[in-house]
Amino acid sequence: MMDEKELERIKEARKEYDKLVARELEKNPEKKSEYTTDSWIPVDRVYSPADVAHIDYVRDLGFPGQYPYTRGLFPCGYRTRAWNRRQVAARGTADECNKLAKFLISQGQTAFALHAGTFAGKKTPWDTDDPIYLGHAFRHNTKMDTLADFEELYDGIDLEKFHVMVGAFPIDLAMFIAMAEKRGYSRKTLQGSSAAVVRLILYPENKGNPFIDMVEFCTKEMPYWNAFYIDAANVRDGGLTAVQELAWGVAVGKDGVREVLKRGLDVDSFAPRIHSYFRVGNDLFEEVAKFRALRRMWARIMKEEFGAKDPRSWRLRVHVQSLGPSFTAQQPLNNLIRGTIHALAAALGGVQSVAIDTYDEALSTPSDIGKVLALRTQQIVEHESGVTNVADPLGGSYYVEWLTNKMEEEAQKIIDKLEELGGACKIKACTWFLQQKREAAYKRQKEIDTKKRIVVGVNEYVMDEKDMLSTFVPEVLDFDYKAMHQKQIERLNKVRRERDNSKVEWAKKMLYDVFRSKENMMPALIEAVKTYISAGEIMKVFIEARGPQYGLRGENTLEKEIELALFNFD
Amino acid sequence: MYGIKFASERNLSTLKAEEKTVMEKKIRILLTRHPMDGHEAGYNILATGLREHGIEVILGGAQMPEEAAETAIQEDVDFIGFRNMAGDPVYLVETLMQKLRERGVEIPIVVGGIIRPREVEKLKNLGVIATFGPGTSIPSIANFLKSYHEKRQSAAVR
Repeated sequence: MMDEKELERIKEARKEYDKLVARELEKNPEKKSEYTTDSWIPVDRVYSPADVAHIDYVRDLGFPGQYPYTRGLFPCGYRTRAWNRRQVAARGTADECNKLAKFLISQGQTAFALHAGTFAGKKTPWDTDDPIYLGHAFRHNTKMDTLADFEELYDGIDLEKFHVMVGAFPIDLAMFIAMAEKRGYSRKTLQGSSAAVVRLILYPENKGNPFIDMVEFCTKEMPYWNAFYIDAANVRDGGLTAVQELAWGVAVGKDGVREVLKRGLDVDSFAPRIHSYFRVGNDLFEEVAKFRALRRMWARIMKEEFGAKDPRSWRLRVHVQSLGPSFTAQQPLNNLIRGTIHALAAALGGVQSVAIDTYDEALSTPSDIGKVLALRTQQIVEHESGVTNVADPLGGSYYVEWLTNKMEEEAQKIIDKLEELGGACKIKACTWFLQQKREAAYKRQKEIDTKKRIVVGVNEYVMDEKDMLSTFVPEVLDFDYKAMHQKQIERLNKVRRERDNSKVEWAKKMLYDVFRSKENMMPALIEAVKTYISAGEIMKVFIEARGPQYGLRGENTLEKEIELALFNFD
Repeated sequence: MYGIKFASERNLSTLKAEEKTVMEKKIRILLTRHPMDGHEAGYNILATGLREHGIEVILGGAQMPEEAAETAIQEDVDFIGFRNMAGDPVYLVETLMQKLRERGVEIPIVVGGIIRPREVEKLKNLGVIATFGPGTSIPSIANFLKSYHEKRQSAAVR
């Protein structure tokens, strides 16, 4: 905080400056009638100490590794803890995908976000021979069915060294645990993450909720596993602003914590393993401010609202990925430059894990060259740009500090509304928020259509279809996904033939009872998958036990629409 | 105006409005996507945008091809807009066309979203009247639908 006298001097100088501005504008008008961030926050021409005079350094910022963690989670920044390079990847059946994973490891990838699971798109799992997958499975993901697929996917990969990411539905985690224990790992030392977003939309009850079951189970059994997942990224891709994304992440996390607490767990028993997933877009300063505001907001909520005492509970770790819609199909090579901005913003924002999208993503499933270039983008920023030398290098910038406060303030208004509507995990709040998302998406599109917002190569600096900036592009992988689909059906049939089907019948009966009783389903699932029962078979038992509303078939309901739009798409 | 509205609800709410405007019938389009394709941003942006351009939009939501065909027939639409991101648009549109043929109808189809360059050709060969990739402006889609509809109407009169 600044003393009054100094503040007065600055305000005087500002008056003089404003006169200068007025004279300049008479001669040279500004290029645009209004200047805003990507989230439509109006911004001034310049910022000064007067805009951040009310900040109390120790209270509001602190040093890196100090509460409220605005300047970073760890004292030495990236000097001691490089971010995880976690590119998204998938190809073909589990055995093919395993080769791809090993290739990416050899090129410097340090964590996995393999787009592989029983879900094939984070949705209700059915068996691969179900007609719902025709035209979809293996086109951009690796669809798995049984424990046998998990064994092949992770074959030869050191599970204590690489941070893996397992699909959203508990079946995937159960198969992962069964596979790892078969290989001799203990669940007590396994590290990785599940994409388990706590929500009560399709499963409106706390008791028997598959996602809360996962969090509860991991809290008790897997001390190094990140089960509680905050996903703001997928919704951001659907059209949110950075401010709305920030608000959604905090609100959905907060409501999720409340739901998990209802299971009688101590907040410090699970809060240290909460992890989050956000996007990083083109407005560099706004993205940096977002990550700084996020850490501060989360730390204060955990400490002050939930009374967490363990500092690890106050620290929210963040994984980021490029904002999908920021990449264009036109002049796709330009996306390499956009990816560089994303990597820079992520590094300057102090995040823990990064995935940069591939430049050909708006045209097709990523090519190999696209994947490697995205990885290289991260590596160049890390090793050559110098941004990793100093923790929070933008801290203290008048603009960045002002914007950090402003984003927090704007996000708080949205969080208050979501809380007022009963909490972000619940249908009422989600229905309201889905409207906000769609309005923001439409507003942005309209700005592009009217050229209020310039997108290089799309509505300005346009070239012919076969322009020089496209020449490098896509071989566009003519990957034979139909052959892979067929191969997986054969693999599944082989497992069905070779397993002991009397054991599978036993598993079905046991699961039915557990699903009916609504006790935690994880232990039963882990036992069941060892019989090589398929995910689709488990899902059928689940529907039998709990009712036909789960799944994607039939009548569209508001619950399904929300589940798909806010939680469930990939 | 950005409300989530499904085909079944639509019948009731717009019946009266339709009776009034029967003389100047609006162009009607069914927007549909596959259940495995959860992404809905472009789909909803387009729905809102086309409505602003005076086109009546029926939101099919996440539908299997036979469900989309059923809705298109029940709603008597002039166009079907199929939205794709992760799926194989050639296979999925071919299946949809098959389902329409089985019911004895032919409805012009446009496809939007992520479409590989080679698939654009394949879709055209199937009889898809237009494809709209990422970055296409809404007015250009609306104008295309209007002029196509006009040509079709005048051809029918002749």
